[in-house]
Amino acid sequence: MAMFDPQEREEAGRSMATRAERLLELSERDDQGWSVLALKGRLDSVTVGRFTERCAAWIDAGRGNVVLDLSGLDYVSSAGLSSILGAAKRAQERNARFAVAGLKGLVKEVFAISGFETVLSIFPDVESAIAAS
Amino acid sequence: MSELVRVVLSLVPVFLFLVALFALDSFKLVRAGSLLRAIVTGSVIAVGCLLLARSVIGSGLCDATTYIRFIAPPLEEAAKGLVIVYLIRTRRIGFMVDSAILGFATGAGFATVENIHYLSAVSDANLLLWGVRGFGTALLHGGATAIMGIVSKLLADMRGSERPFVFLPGLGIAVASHVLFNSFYLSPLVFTLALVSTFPLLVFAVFARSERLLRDWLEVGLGSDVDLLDMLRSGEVRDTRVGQYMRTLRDRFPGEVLADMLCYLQMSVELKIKAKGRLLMKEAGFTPAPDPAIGDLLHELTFLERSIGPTGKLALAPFLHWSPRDLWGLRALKESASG
Repeated sequence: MAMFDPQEREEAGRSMATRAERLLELSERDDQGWSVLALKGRLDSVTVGRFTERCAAWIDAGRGNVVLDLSGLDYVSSAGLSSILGAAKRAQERNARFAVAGLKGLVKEVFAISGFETVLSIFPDVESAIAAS
Repeated sequence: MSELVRVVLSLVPVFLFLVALFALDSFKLVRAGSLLRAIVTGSVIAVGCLLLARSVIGSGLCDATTYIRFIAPPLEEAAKGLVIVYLIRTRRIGFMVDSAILGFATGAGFATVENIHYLSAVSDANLLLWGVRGFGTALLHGGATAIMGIVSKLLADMRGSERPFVFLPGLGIAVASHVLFNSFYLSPLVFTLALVSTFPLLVFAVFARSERLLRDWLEVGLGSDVDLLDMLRSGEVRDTRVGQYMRTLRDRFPGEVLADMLCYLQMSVELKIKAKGRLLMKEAGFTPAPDPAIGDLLHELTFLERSIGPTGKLALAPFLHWSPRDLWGLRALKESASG
């Protein structure tokens, strides 16, 4: 049934946002001129919005090179993969470096099988990503 | 100068529209080579139809007006429609977007030959006439086949079938539009204006819906592919649902076939993920590099398919289902492997 009450709709939106925050933790730090964005949890259709927004804002603000620390990521869906690739393309268009680090388990397998290493710079950890620059 | 203007007016609009369609396809489902092949096929069909028209009218079997109004529309639309039937049935079309683009390209090829023929036969300098040929007749040819493609793909997906009946409604709409245009019930100028103003809206709606379906397929499909991969790569397959299921098949298949069934499962799921990964890369604006390993994987898949046979494939159905879109993805992978 459609929700017509604006208050109900707002509450539903808030609860969705809270759920997304619980499912995916995002933390940021600067490291030797690199902006490190660490993801913990799940990157799927529920949580991808926050990640996309944050990443785009970082890249557009020209905060230098970006490395995604995915060592805490347990699950990534097509929406998440699409968003990571979109962020990489955005960075490329703005002449910023973009790297992915810390892939493990099934997420690592999916990246390898999909062939993303041909278009993304992938490193075992954040330190080696920064050192490679 | 006026010669150049009439050539441009009659030949260029349909290609501008085709380029716009091609550019709007965010997942780049249609390769440039396929587009070119569709244009050439449409041109060849047009040559055939023109020759047939000449011989039928020339032999006196039928007068030109009757032929143009009632015989040419079903004949030409059916001939162009056969391209759509072939592309859908051979899994060269996966979504409504590629169906629309390849349908339009076939019609554009057809219209180009028809308009070249018209340019050489008619020396009228009235620019309105050439505007109607370029925007009206040419867009009609492209649009009618595109609509047949869209409707046929929609029905094929809804019915889960590629039998002749799914192609008839789209063909009916294409023929009806063509008859209406050729019969002058509406003035050609009014029809052209109506076509130019409504067809883009239809295209936008179709592209939006098709993109939604594609994203759903990627999201749901990749999710289940990854789940299956997780079970197969867990190190202890026998404790997973796949392993438990395979144990129930031990009495029915020899050991080596069971091993090949597991390999087939793994190979299939990897290829499905690869196909989706390449689409995601294209959507983001990257051009995936040709992957030479894909050729080997596909070769191995064919070998395993033969080894396990149709019964083995059927036995794997609870875990592995090749939907028409998966098969389309596999075909796209094959094409990417061959460059």
